[in-house]
Amino acid sequence: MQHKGFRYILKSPEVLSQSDHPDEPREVDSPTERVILKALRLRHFRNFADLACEFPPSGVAIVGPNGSGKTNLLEAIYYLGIFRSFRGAPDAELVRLGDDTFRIEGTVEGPDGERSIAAAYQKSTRRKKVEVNGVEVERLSDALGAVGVVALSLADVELVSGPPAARRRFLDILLSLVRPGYLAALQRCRVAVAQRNGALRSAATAGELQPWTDELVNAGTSVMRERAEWAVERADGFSRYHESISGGPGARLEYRSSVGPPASVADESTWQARFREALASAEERERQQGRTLVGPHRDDLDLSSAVADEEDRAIRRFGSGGQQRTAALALRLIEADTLRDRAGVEPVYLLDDVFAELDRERSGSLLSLLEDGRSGQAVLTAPKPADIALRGGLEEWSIGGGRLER
Amino acid sequence: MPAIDELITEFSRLPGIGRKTAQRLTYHLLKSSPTETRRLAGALVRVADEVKSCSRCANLSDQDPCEYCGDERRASEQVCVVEEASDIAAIENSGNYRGLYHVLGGRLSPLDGIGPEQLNISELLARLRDGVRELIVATNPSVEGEATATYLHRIVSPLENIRVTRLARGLPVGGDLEYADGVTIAEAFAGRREM
Repeated sequence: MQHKGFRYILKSPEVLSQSDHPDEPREVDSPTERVILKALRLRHFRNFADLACEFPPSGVAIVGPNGSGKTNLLEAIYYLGIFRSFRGAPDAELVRLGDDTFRIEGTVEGPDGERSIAAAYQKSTRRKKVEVNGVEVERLSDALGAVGVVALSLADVELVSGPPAARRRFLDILLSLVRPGYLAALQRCRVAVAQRNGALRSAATAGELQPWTDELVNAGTSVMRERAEWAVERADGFSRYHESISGGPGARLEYRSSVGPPASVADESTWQARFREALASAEERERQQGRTLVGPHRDDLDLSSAVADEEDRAIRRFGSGGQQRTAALALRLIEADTLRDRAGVEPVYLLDDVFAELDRERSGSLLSLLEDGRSGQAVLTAPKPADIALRGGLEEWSIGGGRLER
Repeated sequence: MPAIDELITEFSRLPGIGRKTAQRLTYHLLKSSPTETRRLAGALVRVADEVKSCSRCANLSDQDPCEYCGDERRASEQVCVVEEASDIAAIENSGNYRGLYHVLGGRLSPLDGIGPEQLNISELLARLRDGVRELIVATNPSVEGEATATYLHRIVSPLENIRVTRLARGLPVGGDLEYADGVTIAEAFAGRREM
């Protein structure tokens, strides 16, 4: 990516909102189809005893002091997308203090019409239940992504500054939603790694280790390949968003595999062969340490700033707080693009106080990016009334004491 | 320990039975006639005394050899390997396999300390030497079951004149394509066959 970012510094956010990328295929005149959260009901979820509300199609701005439950509300909406907390909180923690079961019900409208989706979790039995249109689904994976939703939050900076596991989790959640078979391969891969580690620790013979290596290679290859292909597909978008928000240089996004140097696009058998070679050369160390040292569970998503005439620099280690936040936002935007391109439907955008810690220019750029070519419903939170010109000005609701007020 | 509590405790040690169900079962027995309860007890004693593991295939049976190994009408050149004796019942219910069985007694799982020595694998290899032409691997399609299948394939395939086959995976019979999940469809595609 060339250094051309300085152009943006001179521009006001309003100018930015006009298309700077005529070659960008996703610029469409007609509004993209989108999924709209029409109604939400929460029972015994976090600090909400019983909350019911109907959302305007363009979205809403929810204003309330810290600790009023703004993020909890977004967490509940997001839960309907993947049936897990976006904060990584265990389900038992989501149940209101003193209660045993929480239930979240949403009514969403998409291109295929209206449907209801509900998720409930009971602490005492550790049972999770998901219903689509009132019918319980057999497997949670059947209902994954029924509500397309992307959450942008201040905590996202951990995605960039945190350990590789945070970025693998990001990839795994996203790809489970958009690539058929990914979740199943990932689960098999985890079992294979655990069993293979067991075999390594019990000093298994070569013949005893081999079946676990085979299982790992079979399941692990498709996981790594899907991740690497996604990174290649989205690298341009990442760079462009990074450039727009920072008003500076673009950035690189690359899948770094423990199996070898960044493999861009390679076929299944090439990946498998490489994986086997890498495992073979690591075997001695693996036996010493008693664990599998090569595979999807050791990979990372490399994010680095691309400044002309300079070595790529890992944003994780060398980036400032602002740069890390920018990279995290760019990741979330390519996540939204991935969801949209997969389903042909704009997801719901949850914006958890994201404008607070950005300087004026960055928050203006982010605003433009959220307006430019994106029509998804936006639910945003802020600690105090803020003039955020999103979707032509959002209705403002206040939150406090477990209640919402229009 | 009072008799009632003892029975509740014994029931609750069974898989899938919690304390409450154990209580319900116990009080159910107390309400029914003593004859019925004695019949249940008798059945338990018989199972404990008479059922043994078949010396050839490790199936559970009160005969040795078991009813399959002892049945001369069954095709002795085919051996189907299963994880547990209960898997045999499932295959027998399908009614169209007429060969013999071999029960491994589990599947490879290093995390649980189960390696090849803990399974009936050496017994299997010994059996294969007399006239077996095909080994059908019917372990479960879990990661552990697949690894066990791979392991068996590796040690059996050097033997001469024995085919090693694996049960097919794919669409369920009578199921609609549109209701099958993506993984199943992908498996079915990978395992498609010439018509």
